[in-house]
Amino acid sequence: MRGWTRGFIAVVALASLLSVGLAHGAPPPKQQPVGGALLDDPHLTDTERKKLNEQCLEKEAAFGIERRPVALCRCLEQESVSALCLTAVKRYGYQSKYVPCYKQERTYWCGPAAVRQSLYWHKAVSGSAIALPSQTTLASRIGTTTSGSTTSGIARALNSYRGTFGTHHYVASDISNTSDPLGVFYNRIGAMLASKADGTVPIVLLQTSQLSRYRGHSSRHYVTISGIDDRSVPVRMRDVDPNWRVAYRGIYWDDVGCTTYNGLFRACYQADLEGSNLAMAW
Amino acid sequence: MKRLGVLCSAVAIIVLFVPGCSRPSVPDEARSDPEPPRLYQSVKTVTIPYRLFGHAKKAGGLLYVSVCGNDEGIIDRIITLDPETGEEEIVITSDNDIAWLEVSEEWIVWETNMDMYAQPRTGGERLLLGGVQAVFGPVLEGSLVAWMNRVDDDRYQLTVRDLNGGENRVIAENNHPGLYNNFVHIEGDRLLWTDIIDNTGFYRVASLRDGTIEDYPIQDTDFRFPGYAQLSGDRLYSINFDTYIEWDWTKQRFGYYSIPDGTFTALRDKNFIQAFRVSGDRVAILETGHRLTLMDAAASQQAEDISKAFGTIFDSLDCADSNTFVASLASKPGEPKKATLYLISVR
Repeated sequence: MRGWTRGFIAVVALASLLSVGLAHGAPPPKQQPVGGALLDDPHLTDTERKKLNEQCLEKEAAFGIERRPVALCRCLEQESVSALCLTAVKRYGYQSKYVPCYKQERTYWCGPAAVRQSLYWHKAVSGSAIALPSQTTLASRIGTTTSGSTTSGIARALNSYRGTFGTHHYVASDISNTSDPLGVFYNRIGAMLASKADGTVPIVLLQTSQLSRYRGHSSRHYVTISGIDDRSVPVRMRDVDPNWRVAYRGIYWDDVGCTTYNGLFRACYQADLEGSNLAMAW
Repeated sequence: MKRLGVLCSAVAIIVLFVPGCSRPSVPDEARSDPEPPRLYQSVKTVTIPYRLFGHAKKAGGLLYVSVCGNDEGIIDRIITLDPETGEEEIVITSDNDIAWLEVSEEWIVWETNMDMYAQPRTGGERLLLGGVQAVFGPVLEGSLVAWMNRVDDDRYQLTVRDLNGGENRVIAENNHPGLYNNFVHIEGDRLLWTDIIDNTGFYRVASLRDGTIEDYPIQDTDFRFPGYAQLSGDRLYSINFDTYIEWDWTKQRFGYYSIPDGTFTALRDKNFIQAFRVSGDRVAILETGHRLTLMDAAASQQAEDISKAFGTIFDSLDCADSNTFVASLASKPGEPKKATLYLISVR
């Protein structure tokens, strides 16, 4: 294409842009993007990612979590099948770790609030008399900005209280980089909630539009997973949502779902795919 | 002539002549039962080159869709698509994630993760309706927008505003603000929402003419806390729950409350549903396994399996306008980014 032709097209495109702007009014002043979870983790270098992956594999091995496809999901594309997605595997039964629902104190502090929720359980089990850290302190330890938190920062902040509130060890991991994301998601959370001594209270990153109760409302958001029940279909998990708005905040039981059906796994998987920020601290 | 410019791109548009339109003729003597009438008029599919999108609405012959136009997973723009020509245009961009979109013939209303705005659909001044996450799930009919407005942390007010010069008008306080109670629905001059008062679940219907409110408590059932309610004449469709402490999405009853009878009738006894939408006398239901059912809200309650008709399940369900449901299916990770929107016209 000749240079003048490209120039002409550029002028037409610019005029088109301007006309759109004029036709629809001036845009509002620019704002700093605000969110609960960063899309990408700027601290996740190749070295750091490799280190986290090694920690993840070690922990999976320690808890007997195998990375091989398990017959958890019956994604039912065929019209004749109408059963639910996750079969009742009854591997973990009903597991519950009490954590309260703490309101996040700033619109972009779901990470610090979720960490405080998880630490509550560790403090209770450890019998520590030391007060829980404030969300301000936790935001600082995570490295939270107005754009939100990173999952690696969340795991780091949780581990910084090892010794203060017990002997827990969290690792930050993706799920989409495994051959069986649903099985990995289910087993990591189930194993952590079933383990009394060495367990954790996982924090997961969600794309809320993949949870039916949000009715299509889109946001990237951290919640604490404090319960699992796989005794019957559908397999459910309890998520403690610290949302700034009471309209969302609360304790819910949700279907786990799969890549095809809405639920906690699908919401986490979608959030994982969107950026390099890791999917879960467990 | 194909319009030049960076804002235009081709979208594939396929008009499906639905099976019902071209059902093979069957000799009368071979029929055992007459086929029930179809519950939809037509279905048109539109494929958009985006995997991640929010809501799709129809107005002025155009399809308005909030989409993720970047590699960052943020729904940052509202585009229009001309279903006839495939022409695409960006009409609104946002620095913050667009969480909600409503469009009428007159107005566009969108909620970001920070603010809510309104803008005349054909151009004009942009209005800021609420900021600092003060709004929740707006609905729009003509120039009337309604939403649950956050006053302070535990105080939400059902608020309406005529965008043609009106001011915010508080209809009622929400006694028990929470996710399931915060969705509102407009039908004509009636506004519906749900609430919990003294451990009793209520449907609340306000007249937008005189501001009066009729309350309909649910009693004599295990699932007595309604949420996500929508109006269809004298029927109040909702997803009902058995508790509001540790709400359990999988333990619900979808059905309707009959105002004349004062009773709730469950339409699903075992499985939970993912979503439903009401458009006049038609109800679309996204079932547990994401199959789509269309139902006649009238006495017959005839149902039609849309997933069977089109051989697919769907990711999401919404109302595109007062006559059209929109169900969508996005491509899988690793496949080219696209989503197919099924526009199901019911009248």
